[in-house]
Amino acid sequence: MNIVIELAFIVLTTSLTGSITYGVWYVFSRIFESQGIVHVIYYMLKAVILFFLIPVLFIRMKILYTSADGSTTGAFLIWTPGIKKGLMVLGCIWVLGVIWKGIPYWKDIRQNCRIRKNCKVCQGAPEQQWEKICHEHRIIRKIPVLQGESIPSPALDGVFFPRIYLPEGEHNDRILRVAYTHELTHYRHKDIAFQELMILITCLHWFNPLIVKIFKMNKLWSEYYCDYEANRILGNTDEYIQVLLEMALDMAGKLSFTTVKLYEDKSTVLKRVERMKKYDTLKKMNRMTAAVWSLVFFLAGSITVCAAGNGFMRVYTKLYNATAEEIEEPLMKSLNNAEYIESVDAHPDIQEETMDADDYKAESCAYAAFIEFDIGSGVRKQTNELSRKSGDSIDVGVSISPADQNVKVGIIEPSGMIRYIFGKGNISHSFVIDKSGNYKFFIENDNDISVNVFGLYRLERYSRGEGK
Amino acid sequence: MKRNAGLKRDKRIVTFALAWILVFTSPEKLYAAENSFIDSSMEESLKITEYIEDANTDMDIQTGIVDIFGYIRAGNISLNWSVGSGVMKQTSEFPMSCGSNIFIYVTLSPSNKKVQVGIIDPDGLKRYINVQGSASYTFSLSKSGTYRVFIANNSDTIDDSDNVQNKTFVEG
Repeated sequence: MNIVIELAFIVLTTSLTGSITYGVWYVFSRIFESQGIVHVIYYMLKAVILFFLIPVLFIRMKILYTSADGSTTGAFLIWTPGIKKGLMVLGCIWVLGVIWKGIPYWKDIRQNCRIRKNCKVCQGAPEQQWEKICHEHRIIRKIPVLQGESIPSPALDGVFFPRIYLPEGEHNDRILRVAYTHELTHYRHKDIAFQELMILITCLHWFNPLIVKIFKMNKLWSEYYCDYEANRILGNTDEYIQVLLEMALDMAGKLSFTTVKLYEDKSTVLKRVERMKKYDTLKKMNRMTAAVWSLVFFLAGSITVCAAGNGFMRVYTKLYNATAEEIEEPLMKSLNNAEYIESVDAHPDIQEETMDADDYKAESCAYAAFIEFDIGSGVRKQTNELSRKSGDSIDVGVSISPADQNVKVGIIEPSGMIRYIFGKGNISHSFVIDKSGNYKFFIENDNDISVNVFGLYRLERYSRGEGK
Repeated sequence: MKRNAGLKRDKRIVTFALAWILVFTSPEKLYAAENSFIDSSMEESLKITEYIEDANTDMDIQTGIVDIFGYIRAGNISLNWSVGSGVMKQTSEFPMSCGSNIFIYVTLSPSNKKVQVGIIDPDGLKRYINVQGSASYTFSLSKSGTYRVFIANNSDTIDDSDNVQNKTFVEG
């Protein structure tokens, strides 16, 4: 269950942080775009995407609410029976949603595999031009260029084994140069990796209504920034736009989710052309101002995310309190918790036994000794002598079974007097030492039947927390 | 003429601004004066009467924090927690089998505070006892799974009766 609730916290908090940072990004992107700083918008969007995957808020909450000993504070990572049932139902729906969202992408991957099999490696002029452009961009890695009938537009595919795809037929140098530069820019920007991550996010956060919008934004902005960069490299906006429009007129085909292409669809192409023209005429913001604005973005994002995290915990705590189911257990305490004092020889017929190694449990914690033993009828079981100073205490907490049998729990003083409390069930008491000396802790069973004792005694020093 | 009119207008603005500064700073001066008067009165009164109080105890009462020392037999866990008012704290999960017991012993400081001490079962159900001072209790488990031990401090933040009890009054 802990894994389920951790997963629920992670999914919900990442969805929350991602959505908030997207909101902040959306506001800032308007400002940045008017100032012509496309690269900042683009990289900030990548950061937004990462916020949907990296559980920043969850890690922050874990640091805030978890102590070094593993204990947690508040309602963090705990559940009620109601929350558990709800999580189980919602968890099943979430898994079904992930599968439902994942199926089209799975089909797409399989389709890409089929397309790849039908493609053949390019030879001759296109390959030579590709190598030349790779050399110009200082890309050492050997990326194959494939050509096939079912390729609608020049495209880049593959995160670990990238490949460039070209539509079937002859392409002039001008088109090849634009197409190659464009795809190579995508490769340098790692757009395919982010595209794959975005697919994963779409599957995991399918319940988030913003995801579709962010998916589209990522596609758009990877193209805008790629156009911006490729255009800067080629240095001829008109030629670039012309090639883009030619491709738009000539080619059409089924879109693949996991590839980035030179041409996506007509409306996108028109938007891209508009942007390119706009960026050409815009006066760029200076670097210092851009850096300041970026800092403002990160500050605004961080503050909002922190506030949202606190809000999330408040809501969850309210939910936890509203659905909490509790049972208060009856606590039987010793009679009035009053101490009795009598001489150790008051009952000469009592049989004395000393606690041995079998009566102690190996798992005893610091400063405390766990005990577990049976005491026969008319037996007083006691420890060896314990050296105590004035002001110290001997604390005891034991459970007696059968719970209806009264026993004496106490200490034997150096003077030979015994101090005890008389109780049944769960007994706890603190015997404060008023005179330094050697004491013994004991439990006495005056019943007709033997009883089982389970619990601990601890030796507490006057200064609390030091222990023995 | 125009220049004179401009100068007059500037003077009016400056006067207006200075007047506002004066209005805003006056209460602060009065307040500061009042404080210094109170401070000197306090000094006078302190010469006559001396109060001694346990700073730590008072802090606990003011903040509602309860220091808890506890031992949990199952899981072999020892606790040394400070739990604020209205705060619930729980251990990490530990596995337990059906039919076994969780023995808890806790002692609180200040001992007059009341807290809930209990376990959270694998379904999230809380079973607890109300503890004041110190207590031990054995929870019998009816199902296998992972359990947590929790302590919830539901005590009020300020208790005036405690405050009075912990002050030692010395006539000077």
